[in-house]
Amino acid sequence: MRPLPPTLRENRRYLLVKITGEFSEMPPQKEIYHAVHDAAAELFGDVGSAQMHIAVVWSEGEHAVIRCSRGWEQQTIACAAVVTRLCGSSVVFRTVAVSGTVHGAKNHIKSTTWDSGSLPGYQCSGKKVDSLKGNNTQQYLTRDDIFKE
Amino acid sequence: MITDACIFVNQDGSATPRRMLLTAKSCGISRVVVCGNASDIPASYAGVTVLRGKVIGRQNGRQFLDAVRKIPAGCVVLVNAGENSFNRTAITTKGVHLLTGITDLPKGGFDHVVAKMAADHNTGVVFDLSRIINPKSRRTALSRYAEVHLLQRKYHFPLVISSGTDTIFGFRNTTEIVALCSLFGMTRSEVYAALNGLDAVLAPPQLVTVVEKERT
Repeated sequence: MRPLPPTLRENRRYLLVKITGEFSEMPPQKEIYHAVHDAAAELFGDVGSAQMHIAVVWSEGEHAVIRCSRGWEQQTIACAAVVTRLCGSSVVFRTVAVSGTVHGAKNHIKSTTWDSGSLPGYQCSGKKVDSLKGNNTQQYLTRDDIFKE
Repeated sequence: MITDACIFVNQDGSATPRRMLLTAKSCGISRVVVCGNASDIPASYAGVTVLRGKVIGRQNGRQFLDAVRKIPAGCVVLVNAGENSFNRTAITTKGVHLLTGITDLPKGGFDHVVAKMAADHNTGVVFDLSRIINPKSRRTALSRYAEVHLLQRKYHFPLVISSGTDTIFGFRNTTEIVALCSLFGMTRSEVYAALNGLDAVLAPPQLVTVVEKERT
C-alpha cells in the first residue's frame, strides 16, 4: 500500500520542552508521554485530549519533543505547564519552541555548558556539595551563594 | 517590564533567594515582588529587580488598618480577599496595592461594585497561577478567574499575574503563562498587559501631566 502523500497528511506541530526535575536520571520517554497525556485528560477531558493527538516523539537528556495537531499548540503548552510530578519527583516542563518539524524544534536546543563568562549558574552533577541548610533535602543555589558561604 | 506580582522566598525554603531570581530570569521575568521571611534578598540579581511585598490576611477593620499602617514605605501591599464588605474596605484603604486570593472568595465576594471601586482606586487584582497548576484548586480558580476577567473587561481595573511559588519549579515562562491564561479566556495582549500591569498600580497615571515645559 502506498504511503499517504504529504498534502493529505494531518498537519502537526512539534514542541520542544526542557525538563527540569529533582530526579537523578532522566525518566523514560513513556513516562513523559503519560504525564502530559494525563494532564491533557484532566484539563480538556478525553474528547479534547483525543483531538490533540499528543505523542512524545523524541527525548534525549533534559529535552523532549512533544507532537500535537496543528491548532492545538496553545492547549498542549498548557498541558505541559501543569505537569508537576514525574516518577514521584517534582518536575517542570518548560516549553522552549514550537515548530512544524522535529528537526526545526531540535534546532532550538541550546548547549548547557556552563563557564565563568556566561550565566552566573553553577552545575555540580555527580560532585559532592555540602548542603547549606544541614538537612538532607535538595538545595538550589547559585555560585554566588557558594562563594558567600 | 514583565513582573511576577508575588513569589515567596522563605528562610527554610529549598532555594536561595538568588537561585529564585535566576530562575525567574530564565523564564523571561524582569521584576518580582518578593514576600516571605528570607533575609539577605538582593535588590537586584541577574537583571531581575526585586520589590519587597507584604501579604495581609483577613482581619477585622481596626487590626487591618493597623497592619497596613505598620508596613514600611516602598513595600507592595497585598491583601487576601475575603467577604464582600472586607474587600470594599481593603480596596478603598490608602496604601493597599493588590487584592489577592480571589479563588478563596465566598460567593458574591467580588461583584461589580467591588470591581468599580478597584478601578476608581487603582487597586490591582492578582491572578495566582499556582492555583491553576494545582489540580485541587484548578476548577475553582478557572471559573473564578473567568468571572473576574469579565468584570475587568467592563470596568478596566488593573490586573496582575503572579506565580505564587515558593520553589523554583513553580515559575512559568511567558509562553506558558499565555497558554495557562487562555484557559479562562484571556487573549495574548491581555496577558502581556497584565504582566506589565504593576506599573499602573504603583505609579498611576495622573489627571494632568506636564508633557513638555514651555520655554520662555
